[in-house]
Amino acid sequence: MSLLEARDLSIEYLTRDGNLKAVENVSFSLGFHETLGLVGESGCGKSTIGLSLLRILPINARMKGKILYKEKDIAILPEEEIRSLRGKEISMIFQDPMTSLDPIMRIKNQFFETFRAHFQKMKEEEMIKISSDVLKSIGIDPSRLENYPFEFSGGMRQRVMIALAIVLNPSLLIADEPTTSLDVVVQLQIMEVLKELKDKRNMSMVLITHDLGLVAEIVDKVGIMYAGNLVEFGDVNSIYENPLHPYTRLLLISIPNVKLEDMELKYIKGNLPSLKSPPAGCKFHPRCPFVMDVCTKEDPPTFEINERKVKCWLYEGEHDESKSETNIG
Amino acid sequence: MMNQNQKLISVRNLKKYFPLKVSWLKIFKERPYVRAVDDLSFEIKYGETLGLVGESGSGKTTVGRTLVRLENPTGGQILFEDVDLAKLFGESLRTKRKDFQMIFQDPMASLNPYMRIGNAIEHPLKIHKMGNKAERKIRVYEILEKVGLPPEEFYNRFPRHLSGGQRQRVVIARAMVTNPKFVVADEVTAMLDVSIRSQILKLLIDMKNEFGLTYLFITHDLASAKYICDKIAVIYLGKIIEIAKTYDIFKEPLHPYTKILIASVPVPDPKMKKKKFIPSGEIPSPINIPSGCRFHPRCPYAMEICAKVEPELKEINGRTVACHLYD
Repeated sequence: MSLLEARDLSIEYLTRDGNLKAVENVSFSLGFHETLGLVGESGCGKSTIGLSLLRILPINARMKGKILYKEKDIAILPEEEIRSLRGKEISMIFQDPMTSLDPIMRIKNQFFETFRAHFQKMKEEEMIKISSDVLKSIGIDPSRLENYPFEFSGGMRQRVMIALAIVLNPSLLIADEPTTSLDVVVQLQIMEVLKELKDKRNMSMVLITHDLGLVAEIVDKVGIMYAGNLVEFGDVNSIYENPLHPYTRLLLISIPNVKLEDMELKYIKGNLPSLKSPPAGCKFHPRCPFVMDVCTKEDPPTFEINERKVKCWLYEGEHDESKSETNIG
Repeated sequence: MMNQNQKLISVRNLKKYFPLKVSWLKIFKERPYVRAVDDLSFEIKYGETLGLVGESGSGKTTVGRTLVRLENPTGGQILFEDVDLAKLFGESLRTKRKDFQMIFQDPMASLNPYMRIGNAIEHPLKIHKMGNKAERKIRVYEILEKVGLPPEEFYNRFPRHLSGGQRQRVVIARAMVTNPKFVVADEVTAMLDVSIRSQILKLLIDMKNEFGLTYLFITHDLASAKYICDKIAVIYLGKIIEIAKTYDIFKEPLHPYTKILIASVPVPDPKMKKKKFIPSGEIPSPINIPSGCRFHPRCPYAMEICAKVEPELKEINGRTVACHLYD
C-alpha cells in the first residue's frame, strides 16, 4: 500500500475565456517515508496538484480522478473528514511565509489555533510545551513564541511556518516552493531543516519546485511536469543519470552551474505554451529538438520502461507493457 | 577612441545612506542611517561585464541605481568617461542619460500596461529627441528584430499579451534603443522560469557583442554570473569583500563568504550528498553593522582581530580581497 496515490488526476479551471486545463491525467504514487519532488516551470500544474492534495483548490476548479491517501479518496471525502486530515495528517507550507502567517497574531496564538482546530480541550501549558519543543528542534528559541511574524527574518519566518505545519506530527508534508523567496545561503539552511524532518521524523514529503538542482539531494522520486502533464516519473538516481524525456534532458543541462569546464550557455528555445490554447499533439513539440511527425498530431500516451514512466513518442515500442492507463492499480 | 583597456566607469568611495525616520523627541541625538552602500570603489573597462553578487540587503541594487543616478549618492565620485555623474543635475544629467540605461528585475512592473510595445520602446527616443517619427519607427523595428521579437507581430501588442520572457526582451529592447554605452542589469533573470533564464542571458551576451556594450550585472546567483561576467565583485553589507576575474573566483575563491556563496549553489546530482558547510544566521541589518569585519559574526574562520579591525580591500598576490586571513 502506498501512502498517497493519484490516479488519472485532471483539474480544470473554469474561466470567462473558457476552461483552462491545469492538470491532465496525472498518475503517481508515494510510499511511506518517501519524498517526491514535483518539478516544473510556472503554469505546469505543480502547485495545483499540491492544493488538490488538501482539497483547497479555488472554487472555479473542477477535479476528476482519484487521490488516495491511506486508501481514502480525498476527492470525495466528506468535508468534515477532510478537515480532520488537514494539519493533522497532511499539512502544507507555502512559498511566501509573510503572507501565510497572520501578521497581527503572536506566533504563540497561531500555534494555539492549529491545536484547537483538532483538540478543543487542550490545555495551554501543554500547547506551549509541544510548540516549544518543535520550535527548538528546527532552530528557533522557544522564547520567540511571544513575537509577531514581522519580528522574524525571512528564513526564520519560513522556519516558523514549518514548525506550524509539523506541530501535529502529520504523515505527509507538502512544501510548495519553500525556499524560492529566500536568499541562497538561507535556502540551504531551510533545505537542511527539511532533510532532518525526513530523516529523523520519518515524514513523507511532496516537494514542489522549479529547481531541479535543489531537490536532487533530498527526494527519492521525481515527477517532471510540463503544461499540465506529468512527462516523466521515476526514481531520482535514474532520472538524473539517464533522463528520458527531451524536456528533462534539456532542463538538466540548462541549469547554470559553477563548474569551470562548463562555460557554454545552454538553453531551451521557445516559450512556455499558453494553457488556454495549448499546441496540438505533444505540448512540448514546438520546443523539442527530436520532434517527429506524430508529435505534432497526437498526444503521446505514458509509456512504462523499467518502472519509469515517460510521456513521449520516442519511447513507443520500447515499453514493456501496454499504456500505463491500463496497468495502474 | 574605444580602447579595450580604458576605463568607462570608475567609482570612487561611493556612499549611499538612507536616513531613518526618528521620533521628534530624539532629534538632537545622532540620526540613524541605513548604510546601504558604504565606501565602495571599483572600475569597469570598455566592453567589460562586471558582476555584482550578493544576498538581499547587501546593497547591490542600490549601487546599480546610484550609478545610473536614480538615487543621489551621499558621497563619492562616479566617473563616466570624464564626467562625474555624481555632480550632474537637471538638464545636463537628463541629456547624459541616453548613454546609460538600467534593466530591472520585474518586467511587468517596468512596462506601462496601457502602452503598446512599439510605443514603449520608442519612448526613450522621443525623450532624447532622436530622429523623426519615421526614423524612430525604423529604429524600433530594428531593435525588436534584434531581441528576437518579430516586429510585425509585436509592435502593436500590449504587455499583458506577452509571456515573462518576452516582456523581459521588450525591456531589454527599450534599454538598448538609444544606443547606450553602459547598461545596469539588475536581477534580470530572477523572475523568469528556468528554461527561459538562459535564453535571456544569451540575448544579453549577443547584444553586448553586437553593440560593444559595457554591463554591470547585478545578481544573487553566482552560477548565472559565471556565463556572462568577465569580473565578479562580491558585496556584503554595502562593501566589496572580493573582486576578481570570473575564472579566478570560481577556481579559487579567497574570502570565506565567497566560498560559502559558491558552495551554496545547488548541484543537480543526487549522488552529491556531501556534508556542506552551512553558515548559521542571516545577513545583519545595515542599520547596526557589526564592528570590525562585517562578516565576522557568521564567519567560520573568525579570529580575534576580525571583531575589532575592519579589513581593507587590498591586493595580495594579484588578487583583491578584504579579509584578515590574508594579511
